Amino acid sequence: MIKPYKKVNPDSAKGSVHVMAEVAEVVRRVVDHGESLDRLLVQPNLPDRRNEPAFREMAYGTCRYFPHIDWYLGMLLERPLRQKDRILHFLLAVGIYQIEHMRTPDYAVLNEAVGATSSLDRNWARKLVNGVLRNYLRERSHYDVSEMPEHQAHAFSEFLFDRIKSDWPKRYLEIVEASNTRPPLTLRVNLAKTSRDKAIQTLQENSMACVATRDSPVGFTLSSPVPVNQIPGFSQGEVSVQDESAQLAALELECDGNLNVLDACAAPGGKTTHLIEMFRENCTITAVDLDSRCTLIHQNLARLGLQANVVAGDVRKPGTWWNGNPYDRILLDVPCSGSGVIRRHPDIKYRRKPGDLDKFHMLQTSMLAAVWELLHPGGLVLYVTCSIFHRENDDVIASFISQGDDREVQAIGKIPGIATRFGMQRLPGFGDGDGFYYCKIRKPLRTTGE
Amino acid sequence: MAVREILMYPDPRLRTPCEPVVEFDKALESLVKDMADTMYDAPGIGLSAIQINVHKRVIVMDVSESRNQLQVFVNPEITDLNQGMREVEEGCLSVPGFFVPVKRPEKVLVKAQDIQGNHFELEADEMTAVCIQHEVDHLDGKVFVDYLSRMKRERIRDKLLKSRAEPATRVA
Repeated sequence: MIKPYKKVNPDSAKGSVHVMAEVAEVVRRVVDHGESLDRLLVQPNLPDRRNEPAFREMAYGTCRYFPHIDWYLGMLLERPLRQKDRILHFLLAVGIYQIEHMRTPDYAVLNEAVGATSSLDRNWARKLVNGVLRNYLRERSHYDVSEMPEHQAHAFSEFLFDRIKSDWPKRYLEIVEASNTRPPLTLRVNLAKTSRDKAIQTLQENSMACVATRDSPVGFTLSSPVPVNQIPGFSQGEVSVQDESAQLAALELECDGNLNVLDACAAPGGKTTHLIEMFRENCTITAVDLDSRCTLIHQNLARLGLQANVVAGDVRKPGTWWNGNPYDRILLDVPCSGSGVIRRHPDIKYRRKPGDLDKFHMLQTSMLAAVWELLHPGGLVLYVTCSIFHRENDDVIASFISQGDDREVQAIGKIPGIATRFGMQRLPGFGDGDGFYYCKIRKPLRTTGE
Repeated sequence: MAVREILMYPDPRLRTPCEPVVEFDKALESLVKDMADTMYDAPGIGLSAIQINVHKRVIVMDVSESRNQLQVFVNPEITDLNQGMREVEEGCLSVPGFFVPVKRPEKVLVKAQDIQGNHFELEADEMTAVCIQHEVDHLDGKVFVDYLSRMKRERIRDKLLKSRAEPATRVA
């Protein structure tokens, strides 16, 4: 007698088969419904936790390359699958991603994809899945890729690709290229507890290879990502996870002296904790964000054992939360399209639609105008986005400064990047950082007592 | 290690009822050895002597995950303990590639002899119960597809014959 394997019931399906079916469902929800990948991955539906790294790799990777893979699927399928069987389209996409980008042998990918049809309750599709993937293996090198639309060749949605191309006509190729790479795991050193050299040394003693970041003096990247709780010093608050470009924001804020500092839109608190680590001896630091997002800030503070004044409120309605003391420094890291961090959040490719940029532009301009009222004369606002689109960057500054004559744009001094009309732009992959924009605006002293 | 050839359904030799073992000698020892090798190689969780074309009432089994708990049953007899019936999917080394649910008694009492001829009894449940009943059927010239309807059985038969007619691809 042969040991029976039980089909249909997903709980007892072979581990890896189940993983592929689950990934296909996640990718479907991201691509077709614009759901957040991070949120879908918080609690993956996996019977075996050991499959989680492979699951994440497949989910991120397939989302990253879906527009590209989709072109091949268009060639392979005689006609599109029926809408109710569209999950199979994504199963095939996950299969092609694995064939192209993962170490799984081709035959194993085919086997798992065919097996996954039963977890998806579509046993009838075994031959279809097998056939399409086999055709792909046989014919992938024979397709005329010159016929592929440019945005699909670069694995982008048409809207985002065209927008990047028109905003950065000379650099769009390097931007889309960098947006499709796997991001590094970058850490920030807490200088109050250790130095960068010491932190790097500790990691190397634990045989984790790491390299100092080029532009941030307090950062370094790990050559191969590890779970954060395995990083020496992480739980003691000596290092935090933060992208290089994000690290540069707090460094630019010039908090010398006894200052009242506001971190507006602070969640998850990466920059807040950075400010506290650097300036807590002299400055009073307040972090504000919407109520629902404040837990993230508290969690981050708790891990590092730091105290801060965390306030729940809407930045645009200071009446509901502001204590009336003007701020000397305001870090305003506004909500944005995230076009500079697509390599970390490939779901952005499917979540942004035409019209979104105008909505962000309005929100950003009104937030900047709102915090301006909380600023002490002589004080500074540092406006930050993780976007590479002018509409959310220089355009916001332009419309903001046109609303009054007491707005002095100052040169960004400590952040290397591309100087724009008002601020400084870092594109994804600069140094090893994400795409960020920074602009510093000063409120002149003479406007006191209007 | 001697891995022997396994007879494939619908081979008529799978239908010959087996004779009880009388002599517990070296020949039996080496038969059991070959059967175990063949079963672990296949890999299967149970094998009866008839499947390697030896028409004697001998069964080897190992239902453990670790694959190191070999059980040997010589001249086994089964009685239903009347604990109800249960349907479990079964597969057979002589019917490769097919898994079908078969309804059998949930718990059975097995009376058998070991390799030296000592008598023993065992209450079998779970996979052990399924497997021992499946193997004892073999000794009586029965194959698990006999529990299926004629149409399903003949479909399986035809598929197996067809797959063997094709150039040597072994259906596992």
